[in-house]
Order: sequence, then structure tokens, then C-alpha cells
Amino acid sequence: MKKMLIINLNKNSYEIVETPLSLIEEYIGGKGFGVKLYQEYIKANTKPLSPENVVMFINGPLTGTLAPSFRSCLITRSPLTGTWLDSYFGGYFGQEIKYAGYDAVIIKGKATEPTYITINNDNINFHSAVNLKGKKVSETSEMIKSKHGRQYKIACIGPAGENLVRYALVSCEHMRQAGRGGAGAVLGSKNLKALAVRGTNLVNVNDKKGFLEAVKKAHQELNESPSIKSFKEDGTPGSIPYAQDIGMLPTKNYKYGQFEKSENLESKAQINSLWMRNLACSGCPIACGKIGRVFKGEYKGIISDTVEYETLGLIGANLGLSNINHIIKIANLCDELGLDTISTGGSIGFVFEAASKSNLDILQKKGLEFGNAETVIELVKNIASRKGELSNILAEGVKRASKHIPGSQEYSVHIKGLETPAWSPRGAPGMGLALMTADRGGCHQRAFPVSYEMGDDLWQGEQLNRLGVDKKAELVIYLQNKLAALDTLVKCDFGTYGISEESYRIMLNTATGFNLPSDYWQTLGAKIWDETRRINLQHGFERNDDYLPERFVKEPLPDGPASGHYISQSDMDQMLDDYYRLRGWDKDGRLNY
Amino acid sequence: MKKIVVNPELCSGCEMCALICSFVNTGGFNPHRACLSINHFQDGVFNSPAFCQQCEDAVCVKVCPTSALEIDKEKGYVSLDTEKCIGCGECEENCPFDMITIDPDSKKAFKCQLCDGQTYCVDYCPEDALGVYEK
Repeated sequence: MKKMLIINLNKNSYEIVETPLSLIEEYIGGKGFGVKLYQEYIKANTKPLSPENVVMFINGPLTGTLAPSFRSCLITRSPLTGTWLDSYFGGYFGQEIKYAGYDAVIIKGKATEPTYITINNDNINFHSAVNLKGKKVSETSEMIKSKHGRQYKIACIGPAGENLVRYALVSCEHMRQAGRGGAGAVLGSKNLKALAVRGTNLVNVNDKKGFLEAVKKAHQELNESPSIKSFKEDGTPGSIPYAQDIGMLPTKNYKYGQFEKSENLESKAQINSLWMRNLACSGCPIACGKIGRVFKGEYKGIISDTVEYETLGLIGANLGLSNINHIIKIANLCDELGLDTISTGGSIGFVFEAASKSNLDILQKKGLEFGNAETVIELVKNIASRKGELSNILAEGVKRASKHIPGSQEYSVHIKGLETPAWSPRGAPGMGLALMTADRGGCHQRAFPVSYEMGDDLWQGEQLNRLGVDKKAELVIYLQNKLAALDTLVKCDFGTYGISEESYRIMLNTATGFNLPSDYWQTLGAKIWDETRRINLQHGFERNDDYLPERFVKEPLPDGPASGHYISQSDMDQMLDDYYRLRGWDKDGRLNY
Repeated sequence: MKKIVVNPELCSGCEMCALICSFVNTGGFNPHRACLSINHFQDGVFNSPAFCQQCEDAVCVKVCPTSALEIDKEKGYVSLDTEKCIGCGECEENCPFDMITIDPDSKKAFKCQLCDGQTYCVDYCPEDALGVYEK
């Protein structure tokens, strides 16, 4: 029997229910389950930080098997954006939920005191987390493992989550996070510090021989992909020189698209400071992570995973920081305190620019300037603890912070309240559209059309015009549908650079006994996008919320190959019109059924 | 005797050895149900799988009351006859490497027998961190 665990923190109670077959058949798992369960559990007027909000950890049918590069997701209503939120994490935690026997763990209500939960197969217990209060994520994890056993895998929040910072993350076992959108604050609002899970059940597949053959084929595809080779060798920092070349590296609060010291952020710089070895998530042959201990320079001794591309972009270039040891320290601090590095970098970049332009009292403080690592460190600590007026405002994210600073609208960079990622879109309108229409706000992981816009990939046999808007909507829709469909499995984005849609289909069919046709992904993806749109419309979002921030619309890019370009209002309108029409939505982006 | 050896410098912690091991030996996937165990993040940065040492002077063989465990010099490993095993747990209790357990489903001893020479874990390791050592 396939099962889901439903926990009610109001009563410290739980029930184990059978996963409905209709849900599995229609929505597969992961994001698919998410859109359905979200509408069942979360009302249009449910406040994100109220006990009525629900947090769901959901895995997919291939999570926990030998199939390469699968993850799990966390779904809730975001306190940062007010939209639907799906946040994904690799590592080992989602697999452990599967081994404990569950497709999903659904958490409702609010505990009366700080609590953590242990899940050992069907044995579920509630414990006081009073002594874990204020602890960093590694301390929390260690204390729980010391008490209950090292087989447990831990998901927990840090002080930022406890203090309801709107972009607090959920740390999912060592070095992996459900980073975006503030799910950590939702757990904090529920007084839930951690979940500790272990499981001894087997994950079975339907056609053993066929499944192993499909896995072998997927491994072969990964081995033959040049992009995967780059992830294997350099991890995500391999994207720094690429983003720099095409002028999409966010620099100094997105003012520029190139950073004069970008070389200092590349893999080589990290190899010179961190003692590095490969680090993989469960079942993944790519190993894009590189772990090590800082062996020289400042902050010697810190153990860190590779500083990922997004963090290098937002904490590095966007804050004008180029000393890799400083960036490692700040990334480590964000991880430990439980802050999303993208939103943290976005928020601090915003305040640095504000300090140079505004006479507001709270900004008259020394050190609020690009390139000042000491100030960044202090702000990160204060944001996590909401200490002081300025940090307390920044803990709310750029959208809310900008309301406190008159005139800051023109340089407040977010979409639907989500600080944008490290792909500054002015020289790539398709990427702009992808950010505008992403269901959780400004996110690059729902579609990433950049390689098509730069001419590295052809769209339907044609080279696209980089700066034009024609065909960008159909490209973005294709990519969004594909990725959302594969997020029912739940795939890792990087795996998709090697594994073919056909291989995903055969792995799923052999594992489950389904007989899904080859055109299935686009159909399933389109259905999921309709559902997340429906959810966001019900939360009050509309066409007006689907536009880029002023910086990308009114300010021509000052540098790089797309210098002088911006994404005009009419470009955005044309792309949105195309996008809504191709999705079958009306001109206001509403569903007709 | 033969045994599986690991180069921890190369191990990425991907668990593919444990996943294929559990699959071959139990029919399903779960690294906790493999006859090898991965110690994640020892000292914060290393991952290192541990394997049955296929001891020449094996304690498990000595304590087994039914002779279900035997040293098979020809094949190069400590073999297990599950027909003879009564699941008493003496082997699990006495193994100095914690590499023999009582399987929760079959209630019988469970240990690495080199997949009868196939050593799937070695084949599936994407980092080439595993090998077979013979002495």
C-alpha cells in the first residue's frame, strides 16, 4: 500500500492514510501531488504564517531508487510571496521519507511549544525542542542524531526560521536545502524545529530487469553529455564565466551584467581555498557538489560545500564581493542560520544601493556599501535574529523593505516578492518571460531558455534572435511544461541536461507499471501549470503581477554584449499576450474553466 | 580470500553501491538494507563505505551454532547458508566490523557474499572508488 503521513501539530497527533490511486495515476508524485493536495488543504485566504497553512514534504516514484538524480520537494504557501511555493532539495532526506514508507508527509496546525518529530517507519513521536531553540542547523542535526541515532536524516530550521524571516530555508540533511520562498518561516510559525526520519522499508519497482536497463541508458546519456561533464568537473561555479561572457551576472544590485572580478568567483578560486572532493546526492552519478575545508586564508577550517553559482552571483557579484573566503564564510553563515542565499544577497544588495541614494535615518550607518564583507556578515547575523530596525525590515524581503524607503521602487528587484536569481535578464527577454511567469515568483528553475537565446541550442531547428521576443513564449511554455512534468518524479534540474525525456518515461513506466505515451510530459506539464495558475489567481494574483521589476524595463544594461538593451513594456506585453494565448488563458491571464 | 576495498578519497557518498546491493540481495531499494554501510561525512568531509572483511579467521563462523557460516576458500569469501541459519543473532553480536545483520524481513543472517563474484557495487560505482582485493 502506498501511504501518506498526516501530522496535526494542534493535537500532536497523526494519521497514516493510503495514497489515493487516482492521485498517483493522474499526478504521478512530487509537484503533481502538490498541486492537488495544495487545493485540498490550503484555502485561498489561508495566511502563510498561520496555523492553517500546511507544509508538505513530497517525493516521487523514482526517489530512493537507483534511477539517477532524483530529489524531493516541499510545498506550502509562501510567506515571502503569498503564492504557491514548491521548493526542491537533493541529498538524502527525501529518500529517507520514502524508506519510512511515505509518498508524502503533510504537516498541519501549530505546536504549543517548540517541537521536533521523529519518524521511524510507522512509529511517530513528538518531542520538546526547547533545548534546540536558537541552534544553528548543524548543531540541531547533531543533537538529534546523538540522542536518537545516526541513521536518522534530519530536516530542520535555523534561527532565521524560528524568527520568521520571510526567506528562511529548510535545511534538509547535510549541505542541502529547500532554499527559496521562506518554507523555513512556515515551519517556524508552526513551532516545528525539525523532522528526523529513518526507514527500513524497501522501495520496489515493477519490472526489475527493464528498470535496470532504463537506468543504464540514463547513466550512459549522462556520461555522454558535455554539460554533465562540466557539472562533474566544476559544479555549478562553471556557469560564472558563461554568465559573465553573456552579460547576465547580476552585479551591484543588478545594475550591471558583468563583474570586473568574476574570475575570483570561478571554480579555480574555490579549488585554491577549499580542499575539494566530489559530493553527490543519493543515487546521483553527477556529483556536482564539491566539499572541503577551507585550508588557507581567512576563515580557515570552515567546512563547506561548493559555493554554488547562485550564491556566487547574489552574495558575490551582486554585493561586489570577490574574496572567495569571505563568500564561503557568508554562504556558510546563511546555511547555518537558515537563510536563502539568493534572497539574502538580493535584500542586502538592495539596501547597499538604497544607502547610496536615500537620506533615511536607518540607512545612515557606516559600511552599507558594495564590497564590504564585514557589513554583509553583520547584516546576515542580524537578519536571522531580526536584530535592529534595518535588519528587521530586510528580514521581510525586498518587496516589503522597499515600502519603508521612499523612491526605492526603481531599484527594488523582485517578482511577486521573490528576489530574482543570478540570471539578470536584460539581454535575454525569454529568460525575462520565464521569470515573469514562474509560478513561485522570480525563479530561474521553472524554465531556463538562455542557451536557446544565446544560440547554443536551436528551437525547432531555428536559431532564435537573442534580443527579440518572437517565439520566446512558445519556448518558455515548452520548457515549463517539461520541467513541471518531470518535477512529478521529482527530477534534479541538472539531470535533465543529460537524461532524455524518453529515458525518464521508460524509467517511470518500468518502475510503476504505467504505460505512459511518449507525448505525455507536455500534456501533464500543461495541466500542472493550469493548476498552479489557478491557485495563484485564487490568492489574488493577476496580470499586473507578471511583470519585471523597473530596473530591467527602464534602465538599459550598461555593459556586456547586450549593452544598451532592456526589456521594454511592449516587449513584455507582447510576450505575455503570446504566453497567455498559447496556454489557453484569457488576456488577463485567467483560466476559462 | 577476496574483499571489497574502498578509496575514500574518491567516494562521493552517492550510495549507488548500497542501492544496487540492496536491490540484488533483497529485491528492493534501501541503502539501510544493503550488506555494506556508508558512513557519511566522517570528520565532516569524507564518505566511506564499509564492507564485510571476509575474515580468514572469521568470528561469525566461529560463533555460528548451526554452521550456516563457512569460510569458502575456493570462492574467497565467508559464505552463508540461509537454510541452516536460525537467526539467533550471534554473528551480528560478535562481528567486530558490524558487517553482518539479521534481516528484518527474512529474520535470517544477511551478509556480503561478493554477489557470487559479480560485485555489482564495484561495477556501479561512478567514481571508481571501489575494487576487489585478493590475498
